Amino acid sequence: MQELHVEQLADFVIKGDVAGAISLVEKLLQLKIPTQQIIEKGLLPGLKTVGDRFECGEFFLPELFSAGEVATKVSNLLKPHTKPGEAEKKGTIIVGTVHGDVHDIGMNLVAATFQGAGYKVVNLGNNVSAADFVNAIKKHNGDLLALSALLTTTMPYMKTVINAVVESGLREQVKVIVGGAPLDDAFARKVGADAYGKDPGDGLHKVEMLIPRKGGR
Amino acid sequence: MKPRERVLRAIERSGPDRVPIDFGAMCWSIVDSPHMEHHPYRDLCRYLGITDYPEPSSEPMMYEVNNVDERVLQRFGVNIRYMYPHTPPFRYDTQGGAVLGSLGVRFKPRGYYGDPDRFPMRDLSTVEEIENYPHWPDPNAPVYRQEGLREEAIALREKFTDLALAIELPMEYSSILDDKMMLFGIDRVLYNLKNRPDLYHAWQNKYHRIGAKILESILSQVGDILDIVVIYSDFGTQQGPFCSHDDYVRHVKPYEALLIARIKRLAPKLKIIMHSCGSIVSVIEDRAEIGLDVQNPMNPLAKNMNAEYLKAHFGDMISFHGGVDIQRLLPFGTPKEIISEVKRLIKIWMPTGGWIAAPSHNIQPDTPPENIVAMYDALQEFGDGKFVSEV
Repeated sequence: MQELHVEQLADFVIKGDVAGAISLVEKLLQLKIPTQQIIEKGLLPGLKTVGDRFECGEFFLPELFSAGEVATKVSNLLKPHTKPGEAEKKGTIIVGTVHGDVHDIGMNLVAATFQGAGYKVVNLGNNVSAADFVNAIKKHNGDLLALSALLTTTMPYMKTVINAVVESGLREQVKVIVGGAPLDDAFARKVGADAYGKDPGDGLHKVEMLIPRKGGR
Repeated sequence: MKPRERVLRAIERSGPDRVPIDFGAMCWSIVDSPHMEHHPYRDLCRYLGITDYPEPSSEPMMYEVNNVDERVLQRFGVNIRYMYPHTPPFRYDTQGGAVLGSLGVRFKPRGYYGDPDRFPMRDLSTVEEIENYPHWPDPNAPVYRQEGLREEAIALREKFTDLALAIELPMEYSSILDDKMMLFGIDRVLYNLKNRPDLYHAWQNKYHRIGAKILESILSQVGDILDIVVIYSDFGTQQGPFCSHDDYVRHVKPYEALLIARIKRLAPKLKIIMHSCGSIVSVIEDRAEIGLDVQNPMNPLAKNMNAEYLKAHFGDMISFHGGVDIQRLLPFGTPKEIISEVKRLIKIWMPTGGWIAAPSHNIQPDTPPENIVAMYDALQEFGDGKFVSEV
């Protein structure tokens, strides 16, 4: 019965029903359902379905934004009930749009997706310098760097960021994924990233492959 | 054939003598922000040997040069000239911001463009709050009465007798989603469209009530003098449209139809070009059905927006403007590659017409001047399409 309720959360994510999701999660928390179970059996399958449907052209931006809103609201609701260090155990992701570029809507959606999937997300916002990315990796002990750019004029700066990560000696510790409209797999390889994320769903899929689980649950 | 007739024949797909040419992305041209180190417009002028060009002027939103030197336009064989209605000026503040007077959105320069500093309507959650937003334009304000606009249009016609003339209706009262995105942020607009249709439609209804009055002031004065009117309905990303076709039909198309019908009633002679970036292939047929004449900008790298596909699927119902890629080809291609692409496009669209040749958006700051020149030289050399039969 309890598990059935957790799985209903996926439907609310898919429908973008914030009120329904909040009401359900509040009940689940009252029933002492572990937050990790709510994320892994409710939120995450819902986000994956939304990502898949977006990828195959069945869903569009309103559905993505609605699911992102649900993920953000549910994550905020779960935060006080999450054991300290639980998100960090899954992985810490530093996200940001690179210097010279202020486009952050897609990046925020990606951040909400990663957060909804249970990762600790440090969102540096837009127009972020290489030094600030490096400092954030050090400060938050980042496992993965997610870089975004929308312009042909700003995407070369991703290489500058990755070079700075290499020079700081952190490249072995941190994986790098890049995304944004003018990018592709070839560009990701060219700048020395580990992966290219086409959209939030694809990005999450790649992140799950790049960050190995840290210890047991 | 005079350029004006060439442009109109291309739009009507009735056999222009050659492909008509426009500069930049219609009324917008080439990005040249005073805040950045690259100045492509100045580079282009100097490359063409023009050193006494007027200081480029642009608005602190897109930094598109709006006073391109006439010698540049003539050198490139551009067939269209643009004029603009009167709008409240930007108000500059001491913190480097600029407030768009007609909507109350504050822009700040960031990188090559200006972006809204914050979205003033983002957190409005009731219809009453939207109705009472303090910065709605007052259509009865002196600036919106457009005094003297007719005289300006007549002067332009007298100066450019043989060219096609167009007016750009400012997006703050002639678009469907663009200005709404500046006020709410695109994510909030599309979230509301799906989850708060009461807010979405309350905004659209108020906006179009105000816009109708301003539109009448403009078109009643210039509709019989000019040839083209430019409106906005940005609706695409690189991969696809903003929303499903069902949502488009329910929430967007009715307002596009309303705007087009109003223009046709006020100025039946004007051809309508609608700007709509990205992959919008799923709504082109709808737009043709509601009377749109030309779809701009034909971004060839956006999904299914390449010229062959558009010509094959929609070439008998609507015409296109744009098409020479600014994302890869113009900034990073070689002049040889650019000439080859221009010839390929001419081959697709000639001799029937249906295409006004132009870049697929503003010429970007990382575009070398020799590439811009290669594009326009090729359009002028091969634009009649005769090379096709000679091959």
